[in-house]
Amino acid sequence: MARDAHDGPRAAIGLHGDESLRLLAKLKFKGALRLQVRRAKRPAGMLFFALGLLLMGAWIYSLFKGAAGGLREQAPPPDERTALFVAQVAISGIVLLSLLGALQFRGLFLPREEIERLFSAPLSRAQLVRYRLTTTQSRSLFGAVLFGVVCAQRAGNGVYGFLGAAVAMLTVPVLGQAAAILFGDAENRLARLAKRLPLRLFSIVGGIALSILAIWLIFGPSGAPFVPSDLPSLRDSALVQALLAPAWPWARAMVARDFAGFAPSFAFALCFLWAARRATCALKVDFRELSLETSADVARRLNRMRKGGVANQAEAARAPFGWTPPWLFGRGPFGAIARNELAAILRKARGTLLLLVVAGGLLALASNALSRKLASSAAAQAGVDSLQEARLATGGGVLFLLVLGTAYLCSSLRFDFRSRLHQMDQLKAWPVGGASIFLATIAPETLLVWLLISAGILAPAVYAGSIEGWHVAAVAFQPLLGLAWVAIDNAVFLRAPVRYTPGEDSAFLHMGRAMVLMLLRLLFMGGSLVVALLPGAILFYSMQVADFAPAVAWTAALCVAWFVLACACAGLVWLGGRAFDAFDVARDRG
Amino acid sequence: MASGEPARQVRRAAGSRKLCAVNASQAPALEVLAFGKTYETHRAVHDLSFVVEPGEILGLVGPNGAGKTSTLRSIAGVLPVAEGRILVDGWDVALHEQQAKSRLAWIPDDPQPFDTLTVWEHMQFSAALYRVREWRPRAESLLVDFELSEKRDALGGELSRGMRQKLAFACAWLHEPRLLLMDEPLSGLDPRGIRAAKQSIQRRAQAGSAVVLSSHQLDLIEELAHRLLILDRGAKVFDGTLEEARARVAPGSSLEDIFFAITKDTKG
Repeated sequence: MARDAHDGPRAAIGLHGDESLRLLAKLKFKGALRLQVRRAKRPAGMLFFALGLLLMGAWIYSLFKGAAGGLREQAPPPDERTALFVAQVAISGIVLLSLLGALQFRGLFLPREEIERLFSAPLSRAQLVRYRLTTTQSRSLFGAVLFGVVCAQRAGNGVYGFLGAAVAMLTVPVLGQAAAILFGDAENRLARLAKRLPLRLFSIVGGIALSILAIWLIFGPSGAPFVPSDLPSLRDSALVQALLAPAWPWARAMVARDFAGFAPSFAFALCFLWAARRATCALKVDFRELSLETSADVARRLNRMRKGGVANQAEAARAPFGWTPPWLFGRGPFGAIARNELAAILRKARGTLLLLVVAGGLLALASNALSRKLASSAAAQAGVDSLQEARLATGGGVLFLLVLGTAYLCSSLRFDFRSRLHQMDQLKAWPVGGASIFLATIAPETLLVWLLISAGILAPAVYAGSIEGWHVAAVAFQPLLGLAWVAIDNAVFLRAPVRYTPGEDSAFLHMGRAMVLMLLRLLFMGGSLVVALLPGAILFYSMQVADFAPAVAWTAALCVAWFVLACACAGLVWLGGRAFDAFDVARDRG
Repeated sequence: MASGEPARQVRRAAGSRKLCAVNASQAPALEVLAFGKTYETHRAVHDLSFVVEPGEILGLVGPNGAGKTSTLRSIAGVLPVAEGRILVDGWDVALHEQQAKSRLAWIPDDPQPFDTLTVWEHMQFSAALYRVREWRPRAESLLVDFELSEKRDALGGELSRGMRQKLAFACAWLHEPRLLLMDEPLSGLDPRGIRAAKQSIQRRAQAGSAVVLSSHQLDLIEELAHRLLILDRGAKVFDGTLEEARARVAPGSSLEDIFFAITKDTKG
């Protein structure tokens, strides 16, 4: 057998490494398609795949024809300076996000199955970087095309808009990769002087700051939209122009109306892309240790992501605040199971609480601003006075927070059966009834969501010194709404325990299945609410007909609705218990 | 082999830091010279030197955290070599990384196949990676040896732990490496797989490959290894044959007795 690596000219070894990496990329692509086809061959897989494809197709169609086209027709075309400014802001924002992401992916990220194999293979680091850049750019291609299409519909010249935007999107991963390698190298050098830099903290803080800035820009301090009214002054600010200057060539290519304006900028963008790729591959940085850390870190994060929501992905801290979880639900078997879940929440408290407080704050801010805007426009149309407008705004804000907050926090936390799927063997062996295990597992999350939403509702009211009936009713109903949603969510999950993590194969199939399961959840939730609210509504109208005072009618109706909803929750918990009992551990062990 | 023995086959090129092999065919398959590895403040390995000749099987043993995996990963080029020198077949891993790597194969303790590639495509990729021509007959034969023929079209993600291990062996064997590095190679294998793997390791050694075998299964080391290297808390505490070890501890003692006696000595 011939062995070139051993017997051939040694200097030539490095030149051939790319061939094997090209083969790997080709085989992986082929393998991903094959897996997709294998899964889609089953009847359920075929149905979910078709639904996913339909969903994606509808979205892309709306991008091409619907929303974007409609906007273009309605809105007058922006002047070139404004268009240039908006394009610069968009590109700068995307690059900034990519650089922030680079703080979390230090070195060269390679998946777990590749890293040991490729690092121990006769491949140069430049070849590995080139391979990684090619795969990342290939993945970005779809996003680049979509972004290009969206930009083309808003640009002065569609073709130039598309090309400029697409090249900008293909440059971003190169910059992100270069930054990841350089940040990692800088950290390595600095770590000799100081211990590891909290790069992830910088990234999180940066992300939060950007979110707050975006909300401030959208809603403004007065609640009125800020950007459209003050756009020219912002655009002409010397500081802003200086900050956005690096994005100028790409933005110029995107908004150009003629070839003379487009060609030089586009040529520069292409040359920059080529040079950036070359320079990134040629970086003289030994990123192996950083990459091993990053790869292990990503694998851990993906594993946690498969177990639950955003908050559940945090690392557990050994002794948060130096205390042990309290026995909030008694010291029996039920209390012990609930305490176990509570411990999971508290021991991930560092990340979770920060995340929840920030998310809750942003939600409260957004719902408040949105409800003020809506109340203001509604009041203007109906001609009501300012007092009524304020009450409308308060009620709207509370309702927004109740619905959006519950939905968001429940889907983010997920300290429930998703995080216990790998332990279902143990849970099923516990000498406790299915409904008790079900309720005990979801109770702490429901309690935490209730506390957070209640704080979000009551804190502004207490600060303003006016707690109204809205507030009390919302705080009373929230735990039942939360419990109903979490119970339905978990019962459906136990019946169909499928999870999807970004980057996994069979995206269309998962998208279709997720849509069906979400519809099922919404159907259950809608049914429960109708059953719960119908008696209350009937009672309210009956009491109004009987000339009871509105306050009395409202109170009685809400009390009945609360009681019926509580009964509905008990029914949902029972259904959840049945789903737990029917769970087949052999089917999915997580 | 005494520790700290100078690199016989290595000379320093005049006026440069570049090291090159004088005669690769006569060089030991592996030379580790004053190697050290530090993670932030933790010193995992320090001043480790040893040599493995072609055809030799070296058993690398030590308690958890002794630095075995760090050493193996550094030899394989997965971790950079910050202290000391490592030469594979005369090629310095730090300076002539690709030449050194083309001569070795690394099997980690939990090999991860590509989820979406079939068993056969793994062989195809390995052949391309190490530029093995006319690889198909050999790949077929390896699949038979490791009882993977029936799994030829199975995806990596569908394989059991033992099958993954067998696939890693088959891929590693394909380019007939001069140096084989294995970390807990038999974990997850069934009795038939264990026997096949042992025979295969012995055959590779007889064919001239050097093998470094790290394992907590002392009976495996006792059965296969020609020499023994015991590490404890990052340092070499014994390097020699089993007979030399017995002579040091007690005549007729098992490797388990030797292991406990030597590692206890260093703790005492």
